[in-house]
Amino acid sequence: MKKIFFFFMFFSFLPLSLFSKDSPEQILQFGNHLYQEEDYYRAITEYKRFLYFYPKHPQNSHTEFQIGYSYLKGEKWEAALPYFQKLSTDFPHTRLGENSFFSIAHTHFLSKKYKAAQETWNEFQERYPKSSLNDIAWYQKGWAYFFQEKTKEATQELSLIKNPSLKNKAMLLSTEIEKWHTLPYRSPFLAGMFSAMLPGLGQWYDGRFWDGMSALVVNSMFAYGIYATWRDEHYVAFGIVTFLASGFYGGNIFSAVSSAHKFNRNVKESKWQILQKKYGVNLEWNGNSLTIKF
Amino acid sequence: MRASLNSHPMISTLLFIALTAFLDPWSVTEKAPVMKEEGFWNQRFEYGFYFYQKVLSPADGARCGMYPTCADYGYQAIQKHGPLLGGWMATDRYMRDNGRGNSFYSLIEKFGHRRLFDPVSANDFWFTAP
Repeated sequence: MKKIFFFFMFFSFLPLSLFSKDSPEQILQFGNHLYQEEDYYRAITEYKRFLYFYPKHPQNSHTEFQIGYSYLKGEKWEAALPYFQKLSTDFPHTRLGENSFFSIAHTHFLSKKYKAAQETWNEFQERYPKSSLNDIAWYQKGWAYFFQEKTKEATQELSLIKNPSLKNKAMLLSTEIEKWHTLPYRSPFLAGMFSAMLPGLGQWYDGRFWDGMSALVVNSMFAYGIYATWRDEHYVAFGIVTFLASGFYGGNIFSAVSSAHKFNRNVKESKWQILQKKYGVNLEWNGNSLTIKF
Repeated sequence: MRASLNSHPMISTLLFIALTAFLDPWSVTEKAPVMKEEGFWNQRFEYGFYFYQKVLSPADGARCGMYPTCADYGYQAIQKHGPLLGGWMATDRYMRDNGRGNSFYSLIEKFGHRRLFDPVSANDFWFTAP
């Protein structure tokens, strides 16, 4: 009888323990713990739970920022933006509003919408001329121009930085940017010309030996096919082979040009990666304000 | 079975949790776009491609080491860029599918084999807007 009583009691209280409301600090702590573990999706759920259960808590606006920043960290740009936009409109004269406005630009930057990022940073600098984030805005605008390969504009933006430690980084980055045009690029025009002269030659110029080899073999076979069908007076076959050969010859030139573009893209992207590791800026939210990490 | 599940909400809840545990929480399911091409030559092209994929290609088995397969790549390229440019892209792909350029591509597991990932977007990025 006793056993049945305890069994009944256990199951009658189980739902209460499952759906009981935690304290606001506990929810936030757990949310922050998940955020630290980079489990942004579940962290957002906890932050939303906090907002749902405690709609008038003084930490609410900061938690909203934390939701936006978690979306940002989870690379959900479109989901992050409304949070920052709302906070920057609701609290324009506070640090939170300032950080939110800066984060709008940062979100555009990370989602590779460089022009939108630059425009937002310009507006940020007009709105908050004394902000400590102003120098970071110059720095990031420099990076945004650099990603668009506007090297002159990039170095100009970087030269406007006043903070001594950041200025030093900016100067080093500027010298790297000035070397941008000296990277070992391949000319797509030359590659195309080479392959027009001898199928495969452009691909070899781009460092793709076997692609060049197969282009040479295929086009040589077609060239022989054209010659043999003409010689043997098989004019229908000659027409068909010539039609196919012209497709492969054009494809060979396209291949060379495309390979040169791919080569250049790889060169640029690997250089950007190296420079970002050295001179890139990481923004972190410490619960109250944005902090910079190099 | 349905009746028994409805009568045991605990079981159906557990089943739901077990099923959703395997899903990526960020994932969004999207329906694949259905391509509807009209016009005489488009229809002929569709029939030709269908004939190749269903009749000719199975005769000699899977030979392409890339993904999308060469035929599918050619189809996509021609759909996107027309017969001339798309045709050049297709012939370019046939010549690059030589089994020797592994270092230029990332690998992808498709149809039970590791294949070199080479979508159309990796080859037309320099003349199409992102």
